[in-house]
Amino acid sequence: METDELKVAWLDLDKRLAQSDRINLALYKDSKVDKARTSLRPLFWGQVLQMLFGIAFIALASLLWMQGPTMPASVLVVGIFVHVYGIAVTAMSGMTLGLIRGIDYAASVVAIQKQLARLRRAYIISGMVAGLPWWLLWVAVLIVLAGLGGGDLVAKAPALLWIALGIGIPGLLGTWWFHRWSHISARPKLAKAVHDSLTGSSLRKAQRVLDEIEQFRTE
Amino acid sequence: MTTDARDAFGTLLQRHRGIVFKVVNTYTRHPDDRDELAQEIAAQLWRAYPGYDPTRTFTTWMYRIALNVAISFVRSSAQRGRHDVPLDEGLHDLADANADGPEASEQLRALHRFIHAQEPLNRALLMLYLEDRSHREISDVLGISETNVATKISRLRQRIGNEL
Repeated sequence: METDELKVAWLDLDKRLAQSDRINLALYKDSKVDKARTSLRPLFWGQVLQMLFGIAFIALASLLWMQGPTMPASVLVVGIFVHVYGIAVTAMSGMTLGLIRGIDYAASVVAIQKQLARLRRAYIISGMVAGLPWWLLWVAVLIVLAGLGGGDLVAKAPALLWIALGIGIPGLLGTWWFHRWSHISARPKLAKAVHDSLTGSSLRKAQRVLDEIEQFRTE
Repeated sequence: MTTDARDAFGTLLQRHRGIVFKVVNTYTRHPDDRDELAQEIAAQLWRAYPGYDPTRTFTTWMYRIALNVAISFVRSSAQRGRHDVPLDEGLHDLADANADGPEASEQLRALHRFIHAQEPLNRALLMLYLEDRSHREISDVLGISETNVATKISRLRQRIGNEL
């Protein structure tokens, strides 16, 4: 088929679409538009909740600092860990919310699709920052809570710390090693499966979309 | 938004509704998806309308929004794996409605097959090309240079010649 014939077929489609009046554009006319699903709304509220979650950890660490400088070294170290976690989660959520605010569908297609793909990547990394530290964070929270009550959980129940470290460090290292091994062991299917299980297939897809947009823009 | 602005928007949307229909048809196959996408585009146009600059072309603004919503829709639909209907089934209602003849319907099917075989961004380019939009407008809608538009259209024409 020549391009002219293709354009004729396209015009024909145009006529048929005009006759087919089944597509309803009336939504904007009523208040339903305000309730209409927007794909970014759940993401927005999810990130707000995650930010509040991060702030709660900053507040938890701040309560510890308000108790004064006299605290066991173990509580101090763990308090710093919890504080840094809170800041990281809050910062990542703030960054993701900033990207959501920057989405303006009236901008050019390449610009917005790139922003959307970046947003998706930021969202996934934000989730990993919030989730992965829990291999160790659960015991840190227990230590900080005990520290707020004036106790030193590490001194009182050292076994708990060793159990937590015994689970958490191998867990984190195992996650990292398995990820690395699957990538260097010439098993592309396994590598993909492992990568997806760790980051969700979403990160790979977001990256693929970014690559595709870049290729479209430059080739 | 005031009633006047609402009416003005309604008039503009009605006048240019063909753009929404064509974008919807370019990016969806299933009738339910068509309705959903059309409504999402209309809703997004309505939300963005207060920020529309009347000194700029309305159709360009409309194409940008409609295509952005459609591309995002098609990507999220692909991730959800929804409505993966066979191509011809999805086309059935359009291809056969008031058909001018088997040849016209076959051309339409071939056109659809070709459109849906393209990546979402190339599909936007193809649609704008078939709409006879100028290189400048295509460049403005897509956000790539006019030279790039010309190169891509030349490749597209070559592919059309080879594949159809």
